[in-house]
Amino acid sequence: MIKQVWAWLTGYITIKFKGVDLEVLLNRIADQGFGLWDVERVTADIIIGKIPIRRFKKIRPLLQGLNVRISIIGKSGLPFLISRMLQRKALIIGLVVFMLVLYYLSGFIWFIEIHGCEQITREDIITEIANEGLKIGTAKSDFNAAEIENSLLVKFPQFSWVGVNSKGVLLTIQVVERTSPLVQELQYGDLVAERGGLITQILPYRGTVKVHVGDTVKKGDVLISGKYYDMYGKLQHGRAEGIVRARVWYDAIGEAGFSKVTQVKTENTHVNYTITLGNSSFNWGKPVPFELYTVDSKLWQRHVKGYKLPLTVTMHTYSQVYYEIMSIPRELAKTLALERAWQQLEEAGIQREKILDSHVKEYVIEDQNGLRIGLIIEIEENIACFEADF
Amino acid sequence: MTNSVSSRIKKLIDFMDLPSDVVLELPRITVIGNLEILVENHRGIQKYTSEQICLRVKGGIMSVNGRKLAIKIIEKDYIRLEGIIERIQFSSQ
Repeated sequence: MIKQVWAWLTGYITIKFKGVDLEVLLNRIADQGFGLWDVERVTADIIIGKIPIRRFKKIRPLLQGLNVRISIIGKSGLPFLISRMLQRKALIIGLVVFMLVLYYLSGFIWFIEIHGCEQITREDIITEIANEGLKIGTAKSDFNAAEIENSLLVKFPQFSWVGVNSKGVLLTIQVVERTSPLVQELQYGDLVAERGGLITQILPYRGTVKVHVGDTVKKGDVLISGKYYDMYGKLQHGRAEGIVRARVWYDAIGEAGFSKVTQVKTENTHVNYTITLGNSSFNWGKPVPFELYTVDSKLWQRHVKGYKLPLTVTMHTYSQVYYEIMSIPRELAKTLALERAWQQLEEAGIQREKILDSHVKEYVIEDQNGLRIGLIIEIEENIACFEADF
Repeated sequence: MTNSVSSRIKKLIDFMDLPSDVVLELPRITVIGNLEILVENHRGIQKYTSEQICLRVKGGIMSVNGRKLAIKIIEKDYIRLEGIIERIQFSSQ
């Protein structure tokens, strides 16, 4: 392999040997240390083979005393390729021009990538750097990355670090946004009851407790006040923090009918087609003979090498249906109504498996066509909710 | 007499555990399937057709028969043959 690559780099020729003592000549060439390869017997008196170009002249003396004639039938390798290329001046000029243009164009920014921004949009950053003279098509020598970084940091206080790097024709702007302290922590205020309940546990972290275990509170009552006295007896106005657990009640209503309407398919079906060619389409087949039906459409469109053809055929299968009223047993209706009530509670954010100390009470109110179930659950949860002073 | 000398030399080589191909200049032949054959220490080509290639080796002729035989590369003491090899035969001169 290495020899072949070397032979290609230095150039080799394909020679035709014609005569009667070809084996003797091959032996003489081999004895001289001239490697021959791809030796092929074409006819009884012709052999072709390949030999490095530099050995060719040394073969002539080996022909002495033999009735063999040699001729070159092919030239291959890099020197011959270069020689042929040099004859095509337009190609060379084109290549040189191409390289120069490529080199010239690689001195500009053609792509801008921005990473790490969430609070500030990409467009804002693009606009800002455009104001600084950096946009797609700007020469790399026409802007200073450090200046762009500083301008972005000044313009957007949300950024704690900005890195501007150009690699080839790609400009990458990496920003790190400042993690702002939570606004809530800066606010002063009380913890109030989010909903009414019976207090079971109070864990104050900061502030003055205004209620006691066993108290019944209603929505909006102050549980822990933000005003408190510090260790020096000085009145402080801060942010109340803590947990106040209470027994609270949630209620939901679920309903279910004693009958329901179901759709039943008959065995009658009908098929027609819609053929679309570009923007125009027409239907093929008879109109639907049923008054009540469901339709199932299947689209057929050919793809050629990833491209969709403009011709589509849609097959519509219509199934005739009728509606039947089915009765639901009372017990099943009750289960359904209860389940719907539970669903309402779950949608309100109450997880059924977390209601450990709950009491479920069912109120069955029957009327003519169905029943209604009221569900009240009791749950222990943190009802403390921060309310800022303004 | 010659055979007797060769036999003694062979025994000596075996006793000393020397490589026969180096000491006796015997051909070292590597056959890859029925597609390729490499012969080191050859002494030239005697006959070359696409069905038969005869190589001179020490002590005789090595004949390779087959189809579409060709010499992939030939150097002073190394030759590589390619084609569909059907038979390899040795004969004394």
